[in-house]
Amino acid sequence: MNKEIVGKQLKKARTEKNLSQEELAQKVGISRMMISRYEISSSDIPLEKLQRIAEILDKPISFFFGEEPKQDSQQVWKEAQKYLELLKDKVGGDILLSPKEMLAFSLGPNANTDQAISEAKTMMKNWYIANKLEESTNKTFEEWWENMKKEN
Amino acid sequence: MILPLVQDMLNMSAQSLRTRFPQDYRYIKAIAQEKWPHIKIEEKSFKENIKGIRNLIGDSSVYWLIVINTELPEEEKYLTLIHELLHCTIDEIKLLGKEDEERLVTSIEKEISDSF
Repeated sequence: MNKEIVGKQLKKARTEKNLSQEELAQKVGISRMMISRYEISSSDIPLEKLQRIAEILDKPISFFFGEEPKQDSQQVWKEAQKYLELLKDKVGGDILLSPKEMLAFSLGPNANTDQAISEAKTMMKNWYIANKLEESTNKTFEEWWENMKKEN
Repeated sequence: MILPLVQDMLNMSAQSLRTRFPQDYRYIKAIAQEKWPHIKIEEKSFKENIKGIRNLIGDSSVYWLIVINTELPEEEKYLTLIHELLHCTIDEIKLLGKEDEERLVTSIEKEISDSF
């Protein structure tokens, strides 16, 4: 077992969860010293303890061996919505719009809706490619876009 | 039919499963069940000289059952599990449609080129 990676990942996951070594130790049912030993890579974590820690810190076991979880489509869509919110800010005000309307609106009142959607789609496509989302969604941009339109 | 190149790529993936994670049957079992919930891993004591068996249970969700012989020493159990998981991967590719196979091969190729 690569104790160094495990220790590093454990510390990363614990701090992400805003837990102190003491708090994590209490939840796992071990001493703070043991958590510290795991983090500085001076002890192997038994599988049962690692499973409990993974559950508490909401991480898959593979994460502790250096494998970062890939984004799922739900997360991708949330990211897209954040992007749409940014576009909405250009318009100003708390307007409730569908993503399609939001995209059209963001490009200005004089824009032709179809043209606006097409331009917004290009922006979304660039964003999708820049963030390498094809890998995490396993979908081309076109497939993903069509799917999102159906869901909304 | 699996092309030799794809077979090599799969072997590399199996190799990375062996190098990235602890070489311990219990860890690989836990990680495999987490990563591939459609593959169920069980243990059973076989009197015959069988290391493990692999069955395709469902054809819609592609659900596999791997049974490992509990009589094997830990090191053998570990190697048998890696072997059966690799076969599940190969068999799944055989079940894929042409388009999905292309996509999979492309993603494996990308994964390999990114690792260099």
